[in-house]
Amino acid sequence: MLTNFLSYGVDMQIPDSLLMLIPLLPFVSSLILIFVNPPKKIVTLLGVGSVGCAALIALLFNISLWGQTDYVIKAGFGNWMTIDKLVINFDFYLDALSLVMISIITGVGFFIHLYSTGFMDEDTDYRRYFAYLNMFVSAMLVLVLADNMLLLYLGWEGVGLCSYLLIGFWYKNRDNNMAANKAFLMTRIGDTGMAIGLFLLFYQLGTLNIQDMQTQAVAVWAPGSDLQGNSMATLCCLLLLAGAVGKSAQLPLQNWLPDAMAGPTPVSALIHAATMVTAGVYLIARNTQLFQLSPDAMFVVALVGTCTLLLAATAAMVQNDVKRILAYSTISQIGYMFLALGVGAGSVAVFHLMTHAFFKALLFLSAGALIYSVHHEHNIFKMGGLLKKLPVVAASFAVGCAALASLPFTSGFFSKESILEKIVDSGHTELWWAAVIGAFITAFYSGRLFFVVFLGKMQQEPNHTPTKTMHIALLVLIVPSIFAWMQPQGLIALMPGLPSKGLSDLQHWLPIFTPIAALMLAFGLYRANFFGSELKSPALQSIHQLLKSGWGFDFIYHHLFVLPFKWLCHINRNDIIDLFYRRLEDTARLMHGFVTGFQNGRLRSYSASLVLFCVLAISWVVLK
Amino acid sequence: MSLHYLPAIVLIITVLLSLTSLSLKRHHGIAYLICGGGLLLTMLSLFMQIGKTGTTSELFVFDAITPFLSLILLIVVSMIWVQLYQWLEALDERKEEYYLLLLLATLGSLIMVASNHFTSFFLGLELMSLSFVGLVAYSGREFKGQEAGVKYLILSAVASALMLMGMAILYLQYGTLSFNDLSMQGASGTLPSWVTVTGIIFILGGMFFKLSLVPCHLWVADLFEGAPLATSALLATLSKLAAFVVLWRIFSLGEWHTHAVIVDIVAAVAIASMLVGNFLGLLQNNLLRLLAYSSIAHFGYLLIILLLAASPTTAFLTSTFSTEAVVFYLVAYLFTLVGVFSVLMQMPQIKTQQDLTGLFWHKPTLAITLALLMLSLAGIPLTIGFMGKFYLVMTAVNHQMWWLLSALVIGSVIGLFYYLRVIMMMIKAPDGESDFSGLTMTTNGQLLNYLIIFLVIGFGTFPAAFSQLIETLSRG
Repeated sequence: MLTNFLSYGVDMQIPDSLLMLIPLLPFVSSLILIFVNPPKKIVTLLGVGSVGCAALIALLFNISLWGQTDYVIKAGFGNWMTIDKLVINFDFYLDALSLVMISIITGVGFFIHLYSTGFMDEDTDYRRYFAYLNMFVSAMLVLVLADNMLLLYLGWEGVGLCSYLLIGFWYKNRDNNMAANKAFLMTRIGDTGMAIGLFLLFYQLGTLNIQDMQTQAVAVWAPGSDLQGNSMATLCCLLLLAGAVGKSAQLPLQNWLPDAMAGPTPVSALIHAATMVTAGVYLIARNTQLFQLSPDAMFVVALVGTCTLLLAATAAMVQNDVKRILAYSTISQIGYMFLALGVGAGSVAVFHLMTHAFFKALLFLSAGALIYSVHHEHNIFKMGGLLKKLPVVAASFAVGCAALASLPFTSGFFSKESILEKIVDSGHTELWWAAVIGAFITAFYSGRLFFVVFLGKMQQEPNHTPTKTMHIALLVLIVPSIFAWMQPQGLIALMPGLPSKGLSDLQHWLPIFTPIAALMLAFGLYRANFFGSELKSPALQSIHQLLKSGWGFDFIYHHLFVLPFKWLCHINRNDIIDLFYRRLEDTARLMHGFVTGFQNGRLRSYSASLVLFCVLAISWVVLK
Repeated sequence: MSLHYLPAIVLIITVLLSLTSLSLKRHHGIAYLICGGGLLLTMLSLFMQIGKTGTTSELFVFDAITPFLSLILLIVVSMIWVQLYQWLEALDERKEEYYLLLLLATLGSLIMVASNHFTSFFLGLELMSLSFVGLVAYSGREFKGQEAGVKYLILSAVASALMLMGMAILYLQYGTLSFNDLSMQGASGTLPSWVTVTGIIFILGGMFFKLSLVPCHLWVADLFEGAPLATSALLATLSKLAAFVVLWRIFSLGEWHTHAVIVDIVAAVAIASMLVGNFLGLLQNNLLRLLAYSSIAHFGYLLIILLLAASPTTAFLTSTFSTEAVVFYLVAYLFTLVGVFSVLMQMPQIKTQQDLTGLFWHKPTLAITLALLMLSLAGIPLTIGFMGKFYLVMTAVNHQMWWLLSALVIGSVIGLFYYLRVIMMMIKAPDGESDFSGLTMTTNGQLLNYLIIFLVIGFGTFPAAFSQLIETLSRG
């Protein structure tokens, strides 16, 4: 019976137009929350309920499409704008990829909302918080459901705006505002690239509809076509990649994400798991066919992913702040997804995105619960021995860390394993080694985080216990973090990977034992009281310092861009260009005076003006 | 009798009716209602014609776009009519004749819009101009109004004389006065081509006067300032639209473009109008004069469209696109302008920008409406004015008219300065000097304000609905 159910699905038809409700519900609720000030209970109901309903609809779609692989559902509000050849519809497009995305966004998003009711209970800006949060979810849904690039871009920018608002949510603290600015500006750099990419794509292909764009691109830039077409495809892909890199916090635009911790912790969970950073992965997965036309661009994607995953993993090893560890781990895991995308395994990348969404949401929410319980302490070395005091939090942390470390039989294991397998299939052995080393480091810092926080002597007594809603959210999220073993079937059909080459014994067993070995090493070092102790050698200390600052990117950017810019501003204090505009202003004034001189109110000059026109015009005729 | 003449007949009957009721008994309310009923019926009869097949006769042409433009005219007049009652009540004059003149002017403009012959055009023009003289000089006790009336009368006469001269020369050349026959060049032409060009220049001179284009623009500011407010509104919309439509109709026949000099002259006048109009507005303090100057610039922008038929269309845009552009721009500009005037009619004591200081803090709806309208005039995105300008610029880019475009850009930048200054004045903290206590908001006015906001933002955000309508209409 069950197998029957699983293989054939239920014969259920739901109207396509329900699709439109998914982004609409959170959006409307957000608007209501912005313009009306209802009592707190209603705020909760609207904020959580709207996302909950959206999640239910997404679930309905999942059930009705279960077992099918080749499906497309379209629904829309009709024409948005038509300017000659450019036709933009406000249409949504649901296929296997967007179905996975909306399930994650609404599902994980719902539990984050639920959790937030507990976490933000005492905040005075409760209503504003939920208005932003709903808007955030809605923008992300528009992004993944859009059937054309312009609508996608609308969602893309909406996500950017909402992340800015939420990171700077506690706006009274200047640091938070700076973090919000940083996030906004860094992603903006990528967005600019992406916008240029879109212009170029429209110019080259004549459409912005995503599906048409793919077929058109294949037709125009087919493999084996002339070199020029090929390099144009590469250019377009790289420009899109710029946008993806910005949003997904990849090298070289990765350093906004650790600072984005300034917002409330559930917001971090939302940014890291369900929305925002997954947008870049989605963008590339959505345009798979386009990227496959350009092997060079694909290799750049893989390279960006590899470098980022190593860089972020090493940085995560030495952080003290629990949220910063998690932030770097996100950057690193997204790096894995980019790597998978780069070797042409989009379906696996999205699979990892899905499992990552579950366990990273779990980790962030339990980190939030942890911080909530221990006087808003962030430093892991001031915690310790919390296993007994906070059992639920500890359990969820354990599951989250295990999945992050990809211990066997957790969701993270299956997705990461498939990524590694696909890298072998693609023949990039050097990238495979890098990914395995990354996996080792990941397991190592996950172990370090868990052991330091929950084992050993208690440093301080927890003063709060997490609320019931927080516990519910955590417990529910534990389930998929462990059991999301299966890759959604539709994805494979949508993005068929490379043919399997088969693994050697080393390639098969090494990734399984790597995390176990790393965890054992971490435990050994923990027992030896290595973590948190002073480093003796100055060389090691400086390396530690370098890693802790995330390889010093902030420093580099500060000296490379900020200071020269400030210097330029300084030397241009009197604004050379302004001098020019001053003259313009004077000219305009002069002209005004001149032409006003004719407005003398005399009838005779007025009638003369008519005659003057005729005389001038006729003399022009005569002189010509 | 064809359905096409129905609107004009309805208007004539309304005029007769209101004249009769006026001679029997003076009553403001009745006159107001008769006028409104007549306008409504005319609109209905025009509405019935939209989408129907047109006809062309010797004197008139009723193609797909004519009833639509006439309807726009009627809507504009009705929007002014809505506020007329209160405004006239406050005026210390006899009230009923105003409606009479208004109806006559409307009739004249309808005739002009549909004209297909110099005779019908001239009759419509004179009917409208003479009614306007009455409308401008309506308040007999105000010196400025009287002065404006006299100015308008004499200058109109000069312009009419010029145009008549031009028509005579054209008649000499072609032996006919129908617009259609203008394209039959050389059939009966015996005179050298410069004579024809001279004739065209005389006609253009008169038209440029009506449209207040440089260098025939000097009168417009004095008129706007001196005439009663409602008359200025009509002058800015009704008379200019009608004149422009005639000019556009003649130019789209294609004949006048064959004279390179004419194209050059129109281009020069367009550029001069864009620049001079905006320069004049730059430091202008009086709101009505400001509007007058801005209208000079706006019709300068519109002249670009006239030149389009001269250059070949490229493959990127369809040929109906310039029709779409011109109609969209005209409608956008007219509605915006009517909006501005109706806001001004709601606060009759406000004359200068200083008077507006702090308006936002007293009457936010009024201030927001006016601010939106100013943005629309300046062509800021998400307003209808932006879309109009967008269409215009797109068409011009497509035809590669770089000189005109650069003048448009420079003009718009200068224009932005004074439009934004109006908004700035309204947002400023009240200085205590300006007194808004006399301002009473009526439901009528409020509703109109909301309607204006809705139109300006609605069509600015979703222009597709409107542009598609125009497109289908212009395809016929």
